[in-house]
Amino acid sequence: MEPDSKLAALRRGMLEPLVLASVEHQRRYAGEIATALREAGFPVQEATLYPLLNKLRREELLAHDWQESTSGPPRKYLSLTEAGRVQLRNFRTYWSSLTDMITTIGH
Amino acid sequence: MEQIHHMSLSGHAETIPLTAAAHAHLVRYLSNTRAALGTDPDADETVRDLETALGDRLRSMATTPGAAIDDEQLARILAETGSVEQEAPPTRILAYPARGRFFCRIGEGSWFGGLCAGIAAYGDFRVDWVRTVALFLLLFTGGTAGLVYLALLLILPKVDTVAEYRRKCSGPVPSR
Repeated sequence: MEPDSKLAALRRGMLEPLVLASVEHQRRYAGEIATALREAGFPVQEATLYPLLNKLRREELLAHDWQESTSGPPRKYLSLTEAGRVQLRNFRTYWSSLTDMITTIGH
Repeated sequence: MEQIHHMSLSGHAETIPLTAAAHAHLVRYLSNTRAALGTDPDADETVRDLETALGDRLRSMATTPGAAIDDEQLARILAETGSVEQEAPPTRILAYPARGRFFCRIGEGSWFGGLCAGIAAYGDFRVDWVRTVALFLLLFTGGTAGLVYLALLLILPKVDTVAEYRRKCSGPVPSR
């Protein structure tokens, strides 16, 4: 499915909220986040995702801890911080106000 | 038999066997990525993360022991990984920056090119004093000052009014 170019800008803005939501209930490492997004129908390239993850870590919305892996290098597991939860909640509130807006504005 | 490069990638203990072309391609990709991240404070970390992710994919691809990954296989992986979008340069809010005092010629009320007016504006002198000094210099140096004057007429930029000169010195005035 090739997303419409008019939708591309919307999708770009959705990446950050979706990344936060993907680690809301379980910690995941970057590769798992990419897989989760792909399976949800929001494919994202690592070269786009990784800089964002590091930015969110710097902004302390995500926290990380290292864990040894049986199948490769140690993994950096990411989880939501308290600030991250607040941010995700803000995203959701804003998002539903936007959806309300687009459905009601024409009436 | 083509030469095989063994490349070590961040996080991976084992090296990845690559053909010469694939090796050059991967090195180029990583250095372009680093360049695209520019002044991002996490640039090095991001490159390391990408190296680890690429290493995962390349290792799962290198199933036959000893066989090197060729450029075509690598290109496929890199296409999936994508490239880092260069951050847009910050949009300039100021139309022009404050440049501080600078020498110029000022057209407003000028006698001969506005050089004295420019010097007066530069140093907050009275323009008629500057003109008097300039006239004495011209007389005492026997014309040499005149040559310097002519040269400066050619070199210095021209500003229309004193008010505009001050505006350029201090940058844009915040709009009210």
